Amino acid sequence: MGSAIEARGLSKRFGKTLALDGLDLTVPTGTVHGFLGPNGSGKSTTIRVLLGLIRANAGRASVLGGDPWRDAVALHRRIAYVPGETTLWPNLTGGQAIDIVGSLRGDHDPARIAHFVERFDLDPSKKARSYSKGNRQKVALIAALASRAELFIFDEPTSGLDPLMEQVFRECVEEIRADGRTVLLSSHFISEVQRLCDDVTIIRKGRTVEVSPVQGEQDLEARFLAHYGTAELTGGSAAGSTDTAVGRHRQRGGEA
Amino acid sequence: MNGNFAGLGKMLAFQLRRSWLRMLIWALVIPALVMFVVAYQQSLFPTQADRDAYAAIANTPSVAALTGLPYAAATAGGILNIKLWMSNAIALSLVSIFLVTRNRRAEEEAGRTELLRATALGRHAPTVAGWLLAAGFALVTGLLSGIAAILTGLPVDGSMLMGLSYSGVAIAFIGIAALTGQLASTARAANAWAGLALAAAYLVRAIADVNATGETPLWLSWVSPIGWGQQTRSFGENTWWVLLLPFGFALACAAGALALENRRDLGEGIIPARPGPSHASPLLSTVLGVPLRLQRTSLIAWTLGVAVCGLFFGGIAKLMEQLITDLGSSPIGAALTSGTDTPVDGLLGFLLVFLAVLVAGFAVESTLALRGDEAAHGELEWSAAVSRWSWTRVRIAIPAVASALMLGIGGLLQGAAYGAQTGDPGQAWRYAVGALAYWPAVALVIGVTALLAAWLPRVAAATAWSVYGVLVLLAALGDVLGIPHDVVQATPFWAVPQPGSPDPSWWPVWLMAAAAVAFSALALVRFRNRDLVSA
Repeated sequence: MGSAIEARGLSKRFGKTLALDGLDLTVPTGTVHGFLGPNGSGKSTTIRVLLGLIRANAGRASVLGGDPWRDAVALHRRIAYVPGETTLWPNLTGGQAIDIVGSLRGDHDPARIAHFVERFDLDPSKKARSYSKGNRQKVALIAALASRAELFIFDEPTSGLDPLMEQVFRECVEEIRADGRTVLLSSHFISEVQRLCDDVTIIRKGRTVEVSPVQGEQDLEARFLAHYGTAELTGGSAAGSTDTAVGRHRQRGGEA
Repeated sequence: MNGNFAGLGKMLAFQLRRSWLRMLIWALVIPALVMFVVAYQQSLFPTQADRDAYAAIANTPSVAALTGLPYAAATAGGILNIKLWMSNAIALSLVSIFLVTRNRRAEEEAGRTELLRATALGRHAPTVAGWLLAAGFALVTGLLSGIAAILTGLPVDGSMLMGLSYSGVAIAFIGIAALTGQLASTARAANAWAGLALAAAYLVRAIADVNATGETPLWLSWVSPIGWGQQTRSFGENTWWVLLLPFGFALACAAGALALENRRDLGEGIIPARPGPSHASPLLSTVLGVPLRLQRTSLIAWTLGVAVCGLFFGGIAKLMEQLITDLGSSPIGAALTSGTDTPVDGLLGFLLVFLAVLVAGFAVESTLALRGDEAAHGELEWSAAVSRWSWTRVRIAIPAVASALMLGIGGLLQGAAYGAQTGDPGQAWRYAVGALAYWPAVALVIGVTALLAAWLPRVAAATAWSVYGVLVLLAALGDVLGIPHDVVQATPFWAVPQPGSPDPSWWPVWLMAAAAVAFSALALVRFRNRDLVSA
């Protein structure tokens, strides 16, 4: 089995900000792969490069055997994507938005949509402006899950969902895995990655710092925190101490 | 080039579904105006002798500057073009610019394009669909305008060329909007830059038309897309080939925009947004500071716009003096000078109305921040230790104070530009005061807009702009459309006494001031008591 996603040395600069700094990511076909990193570490930027929405300044990426920028349209017929923050057309209903995304992908399937609308308990006849964040997220999830895509890319898919719906989402991911399809799940919830994923790529400041099976010798949370230093996440209540911790790590990274 | 245009048809259908109503309204209003104006002008100038008499006096610098150099003024079609061509061409261009931005940059800015582009939708499909939709709209509206003119009995070739010259100007600006939509990273900036290009095109052709030799404008007219539309000279020489210019220009712009889109990332403009300061300044941390900062660019842009208009109006007034004297007691002369003793006074007063209408446009935009800010970050601000009372008050105070400043500056510069030519510096002060007399009328517009934001938040923007549109229509075209003079005189901007008017009655001004205060108070009370209405 090959790789659904293969990225080597991706770099992306926005003005003076270096969002990706030589990032590597490999997702074997048929696996559920976790993509862990704190806010601003480059998860969404990576995903946008993989979708051909933006172009990396350096590095190579291959998605389902194609070039994400050049073959965008052909690849997107085989990919379903849930953005981290879903904006919808305020005066269209959730049901309309799901249909639009489905028919533009080219695999619009009313029966499957109805099935997932039921499971996620969404009222598809409401105008999107009256949806809560969680309900907007459900719209994007249903539009993606109802597809026949080979690769699913989820960017913080459960943000705003209640625990019941999180459970439904987890079941859906299990079904995708059972079908032999591939998932890239970007998250900053360690528990979510721990429960759902086979392997995990941990990134920090646009660079891959660890690729390993989720079920390792050491607890995932401990491994994750080790890359950041506990001070950064737990110890420092004041902004100043966080800055110092980050600064220390930058130095250490430079020496390594 | 693997499927960069995939899904074009679907996007076209989708954008049509999102925008059909606004397109339909304009595709009917613009041809309807053609029919109204022809019918009314035919009643004013029923015989060829009447039209010949009109033609003898039609070519005044004010007409040349504001609506274009007259030609073929002894024909019904020529009169139609003098009265309506510029308004319709600019209206169609503006609507087309907004349409392009709405379906492209605004969608991308909102993040919805990301959702769609992650499906099998080609890189250029949403972009090109937006251009095609806007161009189709411009063409259909132009053709309908031509048909409307034919229906009123005007010559077929002249009518169709007139209609297509509307389309041509609009399509040239669709090309410009296509470029600004790639260069700017926000919808506001994309619209503003394209609008600025439109204003520049208008001023360039105004200079060319004022400095004409006979019926031939200065060569400069050929630099302006609006000038191209004028140079088709429909109902005159009917120069069809000139239409190639705007269409070719739009194609070149589109090619450039596609090349830019190939090079840029989704969500980015070619001209990147600069990083800002990490901390809020002390002013920005106040209730007044937030909306002031948010509206800063808009405040500066409107003030500059009003200043340029004032200078322009004052600058051309002297040129017109002789010609207005020649107009004498003709009905046009009377309409232009409002029956005042000194003709230029009357004309400058007439131009003050347009200055006031412009400032009222700013007032609507600024007051609508009540709605925009509530929808965008009302939850965040209202949950802070800010009383809704003061939150609302500053958002009414900003347009109120700023519009007074703009009126003062515009009037001052108009008077100064005029006074500089006549050697009478006292005119500056006089017209500043004359312009400030419109403050209550503008305040009334602010009051009505605030009331709408308070009571009908969801439709406030659409309704407020519609109200403003009707006011502009009445102020600009009321007399041309044959609306009874008394009705036009009763609209806010004409009810204000103009400088030098022989028998000023000030009670409408006081009435408008009282209404403005009452409406604002009602808006404040409502904002204090009603639920938050988020987007």
